[in-house]
Amino acid sequence: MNQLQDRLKDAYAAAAGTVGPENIRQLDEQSAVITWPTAKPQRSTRRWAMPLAIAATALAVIAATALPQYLTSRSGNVPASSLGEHFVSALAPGKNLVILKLSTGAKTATVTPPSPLDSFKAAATGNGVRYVVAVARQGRCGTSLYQFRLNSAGKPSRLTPFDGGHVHQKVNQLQLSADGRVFGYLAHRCGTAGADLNIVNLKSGQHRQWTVPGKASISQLSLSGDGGRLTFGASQPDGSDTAVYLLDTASAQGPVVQRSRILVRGAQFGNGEKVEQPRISLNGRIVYFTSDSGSLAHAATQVRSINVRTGHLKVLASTLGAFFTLDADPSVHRAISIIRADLLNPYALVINLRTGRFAKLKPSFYVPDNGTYVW
Amino acid sequence: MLDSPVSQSGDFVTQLYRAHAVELVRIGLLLLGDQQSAEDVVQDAFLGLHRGLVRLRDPSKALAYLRASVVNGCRSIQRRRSRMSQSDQAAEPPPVWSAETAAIASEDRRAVLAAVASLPQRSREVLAFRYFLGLPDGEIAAALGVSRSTVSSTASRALVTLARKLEENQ
Repeated sequence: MNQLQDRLKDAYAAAAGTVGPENIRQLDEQSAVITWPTAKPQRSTRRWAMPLAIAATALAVIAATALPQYLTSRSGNVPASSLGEHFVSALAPGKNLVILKLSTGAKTATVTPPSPLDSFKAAATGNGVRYVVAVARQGRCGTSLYQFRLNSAGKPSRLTPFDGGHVHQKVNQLQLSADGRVFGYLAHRCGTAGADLNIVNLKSGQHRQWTVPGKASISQLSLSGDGGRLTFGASQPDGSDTAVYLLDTASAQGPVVQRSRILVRGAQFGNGEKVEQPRISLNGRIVYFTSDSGSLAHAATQVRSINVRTGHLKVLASTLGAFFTLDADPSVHRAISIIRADLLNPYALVINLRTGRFAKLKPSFYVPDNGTYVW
Repeated sequence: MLDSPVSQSGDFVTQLYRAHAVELVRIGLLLLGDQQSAEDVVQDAFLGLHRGLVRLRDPSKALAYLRASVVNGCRSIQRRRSRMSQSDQAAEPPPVWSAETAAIASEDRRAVLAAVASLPQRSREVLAFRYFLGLPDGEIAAALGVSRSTVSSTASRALVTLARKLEENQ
């Protein structure tokens, strides 16, 4: 029996030896870099600091790439904004797409639709260089897809038709995977209720389509880096019964909610709670989302994450009475941002996925074209 | 009541983390098989400690609290895995002792760890705390929430079962 005990100790030591102080997430680096508005009471600040610090470390292993320094936010019902490594695009409602230099806020270019009768409906980028835009023409139900590239000075190339060409539906959400191989879009049917979720493999040309019944509403698509997984938010048309779903983009076609797996429901967190804004990590293992009470009188918002494999939930940040927008860096998928979209004093925090550090961003600038603050 | 103000609690937790996180992650790894889940459990344990610090009457009990918290976290993950496995929702990651990961060179070590992994949960917990951490039965009992005699009898049974399994596999 002693020999067995020695073998056991030896085996344990060998397994445990694969973990060392150098390869686990560190906690002590986090606290010092978190800064919060001075208006917050000190006690509250400290209560926030540690959970956030720990949450930050929990995120640290998700991406192995370097991190961006900037991020962007949406406000109101502005259709979309997207982010490049150095430039951000902002859709002016129904009109042009403006490209801004993130470090200064200076406008580097304005992309105009192909025809004066056209307007941009959505934009997406996988790597911050190649952009896909959805263009709709006044009085027609259909969408034309175009693409352009940004050069190092933030100047766009000419609009050229994108692989998908023309879609005989109203496209209002686009996603391009970080590797640029998978393209996803949500399109509402013309003349009838309902919509379709579409995934196109740009390399093989394979096109899959899942139906969205008229009585359901899905939104907020987010593709993993290789396009293998897609998350989306779903609810009843009145906004109730929210849930975050995960779809394997290689799964069989059919009704989308039947082919997908529910990751989390709003009801899990209490009556009337809503889960929204899912964003999937580059490796497709973690999905971030917001949950809120939906009550103006008792507003409370959390940013949470769920491990796709284990179902393990975490609260990354929480606030009372504030409004969060959660956004990922859609061009390079390097960071998750937690943005407080307080109109009087907006600020943003970035979680550095490599180091786990939080950083409060430099003062934002305002994009008058679409009424958006950009960080 | 711990008299350190909330503003110092982060420092206390940070010091504990520096001193014990690696050991706790290692325990989590032995119980769960993969480092990522083990780190999640440990991070949660420290978060729980920070939240409950003002209620902790004796700071010297913090480590015992963390060990118990890690064990509970591992049990939760194992329950979740079991449910997900039954519903065929997700494949398990290969454990660190599988040949697939190539993290452990010796076949004998992998065989021992694989045999341990097939033991009941409490047996695995007792063996890991006793033969990896080298804790006395009293501390193991506190971490696992069982009596000292339960620890002793569980360890004895586990060793007998482990010996039989290894013999069968040879």
